[in-house]
Amino acid sequence: MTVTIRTLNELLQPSHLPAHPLATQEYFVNMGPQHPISHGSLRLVLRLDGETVKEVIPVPGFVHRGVEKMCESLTPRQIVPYTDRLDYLSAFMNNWAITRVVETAAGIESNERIETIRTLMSELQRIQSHALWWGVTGMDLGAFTAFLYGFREREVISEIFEETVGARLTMNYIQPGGVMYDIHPNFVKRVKDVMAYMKPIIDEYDTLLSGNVILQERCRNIGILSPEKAIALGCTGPVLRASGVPYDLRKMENYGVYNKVDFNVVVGAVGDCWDRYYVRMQEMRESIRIVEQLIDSIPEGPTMTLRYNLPIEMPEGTYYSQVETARGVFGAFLVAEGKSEKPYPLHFRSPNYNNLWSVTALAPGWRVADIIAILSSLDLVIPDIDR
Amino acid sequence: MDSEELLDIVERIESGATKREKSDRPAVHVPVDRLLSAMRRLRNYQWLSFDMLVTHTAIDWPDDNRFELVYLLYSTVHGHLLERPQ
Amino acid sequence: MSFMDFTDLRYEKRTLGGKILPVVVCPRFNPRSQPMRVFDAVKGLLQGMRLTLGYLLSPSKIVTQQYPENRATLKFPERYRAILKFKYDENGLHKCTGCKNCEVACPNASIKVITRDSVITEDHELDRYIWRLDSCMFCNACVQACPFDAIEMGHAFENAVYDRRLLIYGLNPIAGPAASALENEEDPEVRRRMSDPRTILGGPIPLNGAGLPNLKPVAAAPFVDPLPIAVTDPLPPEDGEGEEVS
Ligand code: SF4
Ligand code: SF4
Repeated sequence: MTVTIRTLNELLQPSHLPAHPLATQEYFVNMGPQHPISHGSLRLVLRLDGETVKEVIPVPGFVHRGVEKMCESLTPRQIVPYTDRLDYLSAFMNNWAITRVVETAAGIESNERIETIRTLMSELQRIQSHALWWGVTGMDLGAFTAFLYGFREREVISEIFEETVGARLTMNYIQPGGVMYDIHPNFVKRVKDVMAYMKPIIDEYDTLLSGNVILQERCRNIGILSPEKAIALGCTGPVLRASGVPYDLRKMENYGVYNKVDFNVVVGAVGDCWDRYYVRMQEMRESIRIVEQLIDSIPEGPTMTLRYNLPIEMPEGTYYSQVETARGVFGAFLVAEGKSEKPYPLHFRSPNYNNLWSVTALAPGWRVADIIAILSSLDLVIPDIDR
Repeated sequence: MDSEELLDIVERIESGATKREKSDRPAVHVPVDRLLSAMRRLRNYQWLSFDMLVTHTAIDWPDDNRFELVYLLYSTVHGHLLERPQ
Repeated sequence: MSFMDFTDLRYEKRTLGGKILPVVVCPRFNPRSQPMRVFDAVKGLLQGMRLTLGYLLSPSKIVTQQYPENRATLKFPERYRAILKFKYDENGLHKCTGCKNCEVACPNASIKVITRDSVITEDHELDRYIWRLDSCMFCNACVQACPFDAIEMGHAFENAVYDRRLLIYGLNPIAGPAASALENEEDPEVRRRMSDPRTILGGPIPLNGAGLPNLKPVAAAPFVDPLPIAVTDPLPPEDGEGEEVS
């Protein structure tokens, strides 16, 4: 078994002479770490031949904070707020992943009310995250108006969170044993109002951006990811579903109250940027359906089943749990030693990390401007990649 | 297929594999020199067809002077998840 | 039929991982002749423009907030987390007993509770409650961990200052026993002697993680009060107001 390791330095050696005297020489261009498309600090090295991309070398790590290492010295309850800071647009789902793994390990029972609230919050956040993504995609592809519209809807949902959770981005809401607070008395009414408001808004999004010929032409048949390649690369979430694989943990794993609601898995037909775009648009509609089915029938019960200051005992063993975030499968792999509350190692499987590498398969052969559309359609959140 | 059957199949097709205790998902141990062949078999054997590498990580056991690599495999064909520390 | 029809969703069933899943397939592009493509393109652009024009002409739909100007009318949800503060009873006494549960619960050592023995009763009581806003991440763990309901999250969010040392607060204006313990004392003179005033920005600055073994400050410089600033208001900032130190 041999493994060849090539350092970044070797990959970036000045390119060989052109094959033909009249051909242009290959050259490298850094896209990022500070680039509007990188939505954070992500460096992409492009090997170009004229305008054509030959190779993309992602260089992650600019926002590496060592969250997993930090978690080794934290108790389960203290880890939860750190997961907010990975994929900050899916904070609830990240909280839920670590909560699930701790609850499996410690054998903590939760009840219907807790699960319903968790599901509702996650779905609301999925809508919010996709709405923001839609706006950002519009901006990446040159339509600044969309950005403002996306933020407007995000704000509406943020206000719901603010009222119940007390935060807009870093929630720390879903915790081992339950949720931090019971839902606010206004919650049900507000969610209903917002859902009634959101439904025509998504059609408005279609009118404003999806129907725009410039967007359509920049996405249609660009960056086609075949289902086999997507699976082999470990892509999940809308990226995998756009390739036609209906892999959605909300259906595949039995968690939350997803088995009680009726919704469709959205898949794409071809796997190009357009499919990745429209899968998310349609997912917003499906999420609205889920929220509407649940909001009227939140069961009664306590919202926290554990006393806060008691330690959470996890018997020795390895545990893995995963949830579907707005970007794919977020998993937490925990090894408990049984000696203390703290995990021995804790590993986060973050969806963006795997989705990022699909750009290496997607980009070659396309133009620089297409890379923008491809990256935008992957919906990367950089802190989640670097952890 | 439940996890016992799954582990039986894995043990049968890969001689070095042993079941792993204390894990919430089906898991096997494989010695490091058999890792590549075991991975190939897990992917290609049609009753398993673990085609997606969900994640991989490592655990350091300094007391035993041992380093454990963990691969989490998923099969989109059969829908089972195997965790295989080595 | 136009080039792109968003209602053209296909509902079907697919199997994956041994499960049958209801699936909806996204719309694709319809084949169109070139002149019709041009027509569709122009129509799509004009529809988008009509939408934005509609918003321009109906100002009631505009949601922009004029932030610094609307400070007086800003409303916060009651659970909004922006600053940690003590709860006081009607006599202005705090409820903190110095049990350090919050300090233990804090994920990044933003809280340091310094306790002392009471001069009168020799009971364990609060001396300084130091909270570092600069490293706090507003996770609410401290509030959840407090068994005596002594702290809460306030709404003052304009906390920017020019010097990061100003972000280290002593939250308690008085050092001394909690209100519940003070009630047991009858004599007002003794009660007065049990509590000492504390300033919000006075006292030592604790190093984050100072309790860890093997960790020492880089230079063991003699301690000087880093803030020779006259602090007039000993109370923590009120709701809706930023910390004003000039
Ligand atoms: S809110 Fe969290 S980080 Fe801040 S002081 Fe409290 S426990 Fe510490
Ligand atoms: S604030 Fe609460 S938890 Fe913290 S020391 Fe005081 S009483 Fe204890």
